[in-house]
Amino acid sequence: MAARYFINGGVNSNWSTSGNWSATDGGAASGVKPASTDDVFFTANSPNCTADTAGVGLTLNFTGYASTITMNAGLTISGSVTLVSAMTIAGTSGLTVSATATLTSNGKVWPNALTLNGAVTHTLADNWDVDGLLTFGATSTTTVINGFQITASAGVTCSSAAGSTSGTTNIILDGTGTFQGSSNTAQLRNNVTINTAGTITIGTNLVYNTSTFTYTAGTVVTTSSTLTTASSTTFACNGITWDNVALSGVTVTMTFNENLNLTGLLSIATSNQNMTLTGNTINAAGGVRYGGTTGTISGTTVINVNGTGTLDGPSASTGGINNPITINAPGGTVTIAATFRILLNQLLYTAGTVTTSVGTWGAGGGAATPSRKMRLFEGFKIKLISGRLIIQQR
Amino acid sequence: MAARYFINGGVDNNWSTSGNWSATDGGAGGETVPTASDNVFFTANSLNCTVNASARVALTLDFTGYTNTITMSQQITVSGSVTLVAAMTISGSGALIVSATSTLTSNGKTWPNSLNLSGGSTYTLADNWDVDGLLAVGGSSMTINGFQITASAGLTQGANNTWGTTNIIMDGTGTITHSHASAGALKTNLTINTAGTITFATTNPFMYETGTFTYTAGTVVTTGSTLIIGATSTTVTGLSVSGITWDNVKLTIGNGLNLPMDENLNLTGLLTIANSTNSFTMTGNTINASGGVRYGGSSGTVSGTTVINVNGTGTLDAPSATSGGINNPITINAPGGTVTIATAGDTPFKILLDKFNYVAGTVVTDKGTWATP
Repeated sequence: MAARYFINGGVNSNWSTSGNWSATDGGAASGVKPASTDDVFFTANSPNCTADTAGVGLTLNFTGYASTITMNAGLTISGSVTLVSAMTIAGTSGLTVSATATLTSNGKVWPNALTLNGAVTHTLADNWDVDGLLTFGATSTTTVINGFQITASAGVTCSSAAGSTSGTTNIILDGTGTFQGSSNTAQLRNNVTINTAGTITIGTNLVYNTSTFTYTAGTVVTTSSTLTTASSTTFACNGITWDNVALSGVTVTMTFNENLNLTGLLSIATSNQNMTLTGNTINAAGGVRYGGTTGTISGTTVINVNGTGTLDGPSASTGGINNPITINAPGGTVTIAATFRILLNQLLYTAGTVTTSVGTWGAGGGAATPSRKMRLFEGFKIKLISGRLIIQQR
Repeated sequence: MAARYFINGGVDNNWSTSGNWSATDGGAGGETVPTASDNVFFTANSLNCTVNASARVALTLDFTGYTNTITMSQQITVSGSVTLVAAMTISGSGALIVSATSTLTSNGKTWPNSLNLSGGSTYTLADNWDVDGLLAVGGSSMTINGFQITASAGLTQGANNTWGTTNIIMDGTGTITHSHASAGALKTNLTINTAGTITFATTNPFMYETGTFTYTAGTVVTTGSTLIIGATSTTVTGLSVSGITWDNVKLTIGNGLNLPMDENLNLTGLLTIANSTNSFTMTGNTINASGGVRYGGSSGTVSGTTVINVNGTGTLDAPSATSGGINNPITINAPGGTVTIATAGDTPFKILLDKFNYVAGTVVTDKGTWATP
């Protein structure tokens, strides 16, 4: 491990030029560019720098740097990173931090992609504002990000497939971009807030667990996406209309501080999971699936079926949903398929055509004769004449 | 054990007169009055007889060849077989009690009084019996096999099970009573086919198991009564009673058994389905329950094709349920009625929503009142 200070070697401003690196601040060139075991410093004595090829370092510290680093190639740092507000960052390449680190922005916006990965803990010393894509984790690793917040302005990707990214850091999406998981097993467990004047597009897979998912403002596009949640989680995202949502987990509690709205399929539980859904209402316009076998879903959250879809429990044996269920689908058709088990005292039928294996409720079935009110008008016709509604005998 | 032949002793016609009993048919009198270990014979040589004193007993009672009249001023208790003959005359109102394993032969003769099969025994009918008095069974656990007993003045089921293949036919006017609140069941075939009125008593529920229960004709009064269709190891083989409107019905079938509904079951009171943890099936037809439905079990599941049609004002609840419920089709079709689904605090009424049909009626749940379809 050695110190590497960027200096003016007199040839060019490139990171890759060995003559641009010194062992001391403002000292003579050492002729050795940083390795992944070296602490890298940009100081008041450092000139502009161009990261012309992929660079590495153990740490990266810009304290005192008032010039410009141009990110034409990416940097991978195996430890702490310190930015300073006086520095200038140009170029479009990203920064990857792949080992235990303390990340200090000092109020400087990181304009490019930022990747935080490794089976390590990243600790934020202050808030970070990332204008490029923010990527977490790596396959089969558990990455922890603690402290403060990261404002991600160009989307977030969680790459912790078969692993997870967790921690206390709040992730705030404030720009336009895609929020997604790299697969349907890439879990993000930090608090997330969508608060943007732009548009956030939810990718095909988004696995969110454990913490609180908050929507404040912005356009959120969810078409063909699935939000998957498999641990106790809190949702406050009434302003988002999801496409598909899958809730599961063993003895978990999903807390809905606001309504949850979706147009696609709401899937609840797998195998023998007992779950609790508490608070507010899930407005499920595209059907509800109890995906479990013997587990029981309970709690105060109302599952409101408000569109055309199917309610089923294709794997159910003795399990079912004990939460309040409302069918309120004016103009819609709700088909109940096997084996959807509920508590009848928790069911409220308000509107819509409901088709079960033993009959049809509501419009198109059930009531074989028109209501008394409707029969009053049989044999009459109604006309609008000069702004007046006239009822005439046929 | 001795033979006792009823003869003309020259004094009177009373059973209790020792001079009227002989050891041989038409022989000399003076033998002792029959005891419970004696075979008693009334033959062509026997004159009229009056059962004049209580506690008359016999091991067997055989009227073969008898063409006179026996006046039943008191009851007779027989510990074995009984043979009547068509030519005999029976008067008086004393009961015949058969208290042990026996063969019962009527030869077409109607027994006009009460018949009490009281022993923990097997009764074998050699032919059909017509009993114009009250028929009492189940005083002890028993089996009655073969043919049929036509009971014209009611039936009393005791506190023990009555098994067997005999068909008991109710053809008169009388009351069907169960003498115990929770023990014993009638497990023979039972048919109601009468021009009269059969009333189900309200004192205790009438418990029926194992056989086929058929209604053919007649007025049946069930007000305030409860029919329990139960089963432990063997369920009823058929239930064809759509002509009866029951008051309350409990279906408490054993684990893994099936209750075949050969016809609709109609009731105005409370329908209770299941108790304890038993899981069972109900297949065929419809139960029209106009007074509410209760899942009375805890963790058992009730399933099958029988439709439970809630067609009147009542409550659907499950006060003891944990994980159990009813998987049968359930229809609410109660025009003008109000169906309340388990108020807050009650244990929930669990169903398969795909087996549920809402046709008419006001439905009130914890979550509100449903829109009328």
